[in-house]
Parts: sequence; structure tokens; C-alpha cells
Amino acid sequence: MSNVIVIGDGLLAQEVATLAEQTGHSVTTFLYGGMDRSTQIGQVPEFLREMANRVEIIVEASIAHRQEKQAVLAHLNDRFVGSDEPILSAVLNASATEVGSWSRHPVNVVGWAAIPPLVDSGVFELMPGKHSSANSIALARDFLASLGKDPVLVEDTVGGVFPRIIANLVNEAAFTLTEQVAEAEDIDTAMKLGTNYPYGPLAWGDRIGLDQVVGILTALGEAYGQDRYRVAPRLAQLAQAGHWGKASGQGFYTYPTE
Amino acid sequence: MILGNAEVRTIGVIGSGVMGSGIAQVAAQSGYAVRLFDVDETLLEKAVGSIAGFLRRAAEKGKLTPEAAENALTRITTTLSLGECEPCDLVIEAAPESIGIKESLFRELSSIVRSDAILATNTSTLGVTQIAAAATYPERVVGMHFFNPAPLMKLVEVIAGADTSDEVIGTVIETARHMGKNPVRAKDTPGFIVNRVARPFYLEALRLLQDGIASPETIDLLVRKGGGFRMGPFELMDLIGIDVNYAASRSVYEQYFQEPRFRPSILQQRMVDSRHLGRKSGRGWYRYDEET
Ligand SMILES: NC(=O)c1ccc[n+]([C@@H]2O[C@H](COP(=O)([O-])OP(=O)(O)OC[C@H]3O[C@@H](n4cnc5c(N)ncnc54)[C@H](O)[C@@H]3O)[C@@H](O)[C@H]2O)c1
Repeated sequence: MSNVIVIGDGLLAQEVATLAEQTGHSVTTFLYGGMDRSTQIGQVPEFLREMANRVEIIVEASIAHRQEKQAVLAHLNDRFVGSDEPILSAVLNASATEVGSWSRHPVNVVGWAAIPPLVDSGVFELMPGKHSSANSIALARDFLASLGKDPVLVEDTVGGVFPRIIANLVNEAAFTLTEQVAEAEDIDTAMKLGTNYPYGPLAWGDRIGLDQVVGILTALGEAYGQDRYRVAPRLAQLAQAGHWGKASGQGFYTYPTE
Repeated sequence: MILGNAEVRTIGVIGSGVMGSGIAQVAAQSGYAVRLFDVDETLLEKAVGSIAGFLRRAAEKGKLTPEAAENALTRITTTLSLGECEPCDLVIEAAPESIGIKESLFRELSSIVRSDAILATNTSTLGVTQIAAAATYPERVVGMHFFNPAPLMKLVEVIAGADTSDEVIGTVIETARHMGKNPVRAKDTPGFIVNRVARPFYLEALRLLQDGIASPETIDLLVRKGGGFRMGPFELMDLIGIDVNYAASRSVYEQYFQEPRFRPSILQQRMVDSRHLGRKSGRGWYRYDEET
């Protein structure tokens, strides 16, 4: 069992932290942005200073904004000079190779991907970057396996495999809603009953966090062209308004507040 | 303007193929009198045979009583004459996916049915508005898109053409509910809801394959185990038929004036060219010919 730190801005980070705790790791978590609006990226150095000295695994899942991911990596550079802890970076908005290029220790950076809810998932995507060392890949694989899910090796791509597919489903459903083809409930019902999807794409987007979905699509657009990955106007607007879905009480749907 | 007739008792079904026979069965099981029309007598006989077989198996499994199965069957009248649709309150057209065939059917049906009857099309890819324009009263024409197999799939997309009246939509939604279906309402746009929103499920997976990120097996595994989908995109393409799925991609892409999000993949085209169409041809993204 390892000393793990998890830094991120969404449900994915939160769920990985919870999973790591449940599987016996000692976890320290820093959540900001979509998951905790009271904290900000600027507080990461302070958080890192307070860390127990020995950190064995660093998990990064900063997805809504690429600049923030870059900032997290810069803070990690400052804190872990010359160290060899693997940095497991969620590739949802930048490939492992690109994240490696932001790091002072690219050999330590290994990509991974998954989509919440993790309780439904039996796998993690494992994506080594061009610089990842065999040692850090092995450590990353062992850590993901220790969370009770199979690590599946795939090539490095921004967005990962399944998150790319899901983000585009949510986006197309959002275009359908934007164009007033149908009501949100009817779109979700149609996809569940007409083609056996486990969740409606709009409800799923609300659950993942619309800031996160927009983060994935924006990064795909930057990497592969805006024409294909253009964010649906309704989705972009909700994200801008801070209506990020279930966690914030409002997204495509409205949720009762506790 | 002539409004939809709220009381549907007799339903005409045009075309007794895969969809028409399923729709006729659902309607008959739900208590409607059904006139099932086709241009081909052997296909009509085949349809009645398959409906009878389905009902018999359902009765054997205890899903309905033998009397209910028998009653459903007796409610279906087959015919080779379109004129027999005259007493129908609702006609559901499930003829081949050709705008020419559908336009002439709607033109002809307009002069056969009562002026307050509803004409519905089960088209997947053609415009409801375009088909409606061929009818005398476009406000009484509506899309009623069932999914295959119609007796089992709960969803019906109810499609409003440009002129379809709200009353007609309301009556069709009510009728679909009475058939035990879950109707959803959508505007007449390419792919309606399901065939449009599902496009990226296949196209993004094909893009990942084309870019060498992962194999079909791995992508399917990640979608099944990572997201709780029953089938991954490649398995599903093999089941649907790669040619059918490719045609759906092309249709939505062309109808949206080549919107880049819907651009089909060269990998689909190569599979169709090679006649590896999926399960039905023994080979697609996976091989099925070694199974016995
Ligand atoms: N197969 C599917 O999965 C599916 C799903 C939803 C909707 N649809 C739509 O349903 C419609 C029918 O599809 P299908 O798969 O049942 O096709 P099919 O080929 O199985 O059946 C078509 C039937 O129409 C008959 N026919 C031919 N010419 C005719 C005419 N002029 N008038 C009346 N009937 C005629 C044929 O003899 C045949 O029995 C199409 O519009 C299709 O797009 C199909």
C-alpha cells in the first residue's frame, strides 16, 4: 500500500481518491474547481508543502482547463525535484506525451483514463507517453491494478478511448437539444430504449461534470480540429454558467439541493 | 384543417417485411384490427407464418395465454389491395426505404382513407416532411419510427413533419402507449434522435482504430467494461451489418450537408468493399465463420 496524493478538479479525481482509500492506500486529496469551488489551483503549492515527506504515487486528474493542468505539473516540478515518484496523469485533456513535455521528469509521467461512475467500471486505460520509463509504467500499472480494476494498455491519445467516445455522445445529444429536436428526457429515454445505452447521454454528462466534458472536447478540438469537436452551444453555455451538472445542482437537468 | 381522429380502432400496415410484420403483430396483440398490405403474396404468407410462430413461442413461455395469441392472429387481415385500407383510422407504412415508393403510397392512400385518418411512415432516413408533401393532407402525416425487432423494442420515435398537427402527434403518442411502447417526440431532422446521437459511438471508435490507438477488441472491451454498455461499437456494427451502419452514417452526413462531426470513415467503406459485413457474412470486425 502506498502514500498517494490525488490532485484534480472533478468527479474522476474524487472517485479515484475514494477508491484508493477503500483499497487501503493512504490518500491525501486536493480538489478544486468543479468539485470544490472554495479552493483554487494557486493553493496547490501550499497543499504540497504540507504533505508527508514520503509520497509514492501522484495522481493528477485536472481536466476542465489545460492551463490548470499545466500549472499543476509546474507545481509538481517545484516540489518533487529529482524525485522518481510516478505521476499518473489523466489524459482526458492532454496526451501523456504532452503532459510529459511539461514535466521536469517526463520519464515519471504515465497516462491513464476512465469515466465516472467508477463503480460501474472494471478497467482503467493505461497510456504510457513517449518518454515514460519502464519502471514508472510498471509502478502505474501496479497501482491501477491495486484499485481492483484491470489496467488495459492502449496507445497514447488525448482524451483516452472511452472518454473520447462518451464526450462526443454527450456533445451530439447536446447539439440535438440545442437544435430543439427533442426534450432532454426524451433524448435520454431514446438512447436507453432504442440502443440499450446504460445511461442517457445528457444525464451521464451531468454526472461526469459538464466542465469536464467541455475540457475533453476542447482538448480534442485543439489536437484534431475544431470542426469535428466543436462544443455544442447549449453545453458550452451551461459550462460557462457554472451549471456543471449533478454536483452543482444544475446542468442539463435540475437537481434538488441537499 | 382536418384534425386527427382520437379514437384509433383499425390500423393498416403497409409492407409485411421485417418491420411491417413486427408492427402488425404489436398492433394486433394490443387489440387493434389490422389490415396488413404487401405487393407480394408469398411475403404476406411468410409474415403471417412468422407472427404465428412468435405468438406461439410467447404462449409456450407463458408470456401470454394461448387464447390471447389466437385472438391476436385473428385480428390480422392480409390483403394485396391497398383499397382495403379504407376503414383504417391509422395507416403505418413500412415499405422499402425509397422516396419514390413512399411518395406514391402516400398519394394513393390519401384518396383511399377517410379524411380524418392518420398516415404514418416508419422511415429511418427519409424526411417525414418530404413524404407528407405527397399526401393530400400533410398535417395528418407523421413519422412513427419503430425499432427492430418491433415486438420487443420499447421505443417509438414520433416525428413531427413541418405541417404535422399537434392533434395527430397526440393521437399517435397515445396509440404507441396503448401498444405498450414508450414514445418520444422529435422534430423531422436527419437521423431523428437515436440514429443521430449514436453516430459518434461508431465514428469516434473508428477514428481511434484508424489512428492506431487500440484494436477493435480492446475498444469494445473498454466500452463494455469501462462504461457498462452491453456491446462495444465494433461488435454492434457486426450485429447491425457494417453496410447498414455505413449507409446510416453516410445518410446523416449527406443530409447535414457534410457536417464534419458526421464524416464517415474510410475503414467502414473498405469493410463494405471487401464484403465483410459482420455476422451475416460470417466475418466483419470479428470472424464468425469458424463457429459452428
Ligand atoms: N429493418 C430495420 O431495422 C428498420 C428499423 C426501423 C425502420 N425501418 C424502416 O422500415 C421500412 C421497412 O423496412 P424493412 O426492414 O421492414 O424492409 P423489408 O425489405 O423487410 O420489407 C419491405 C416490405 O415492403 C414490401 N413492398 C415492396 N414494395 C412495396 C410497395 N410498393 N408497397 C407496399 N409494400 C411494398 C416488400 O415486399 C417487403 O415485404 C423502411 O422504411 C426502413 O427504413 C427499418
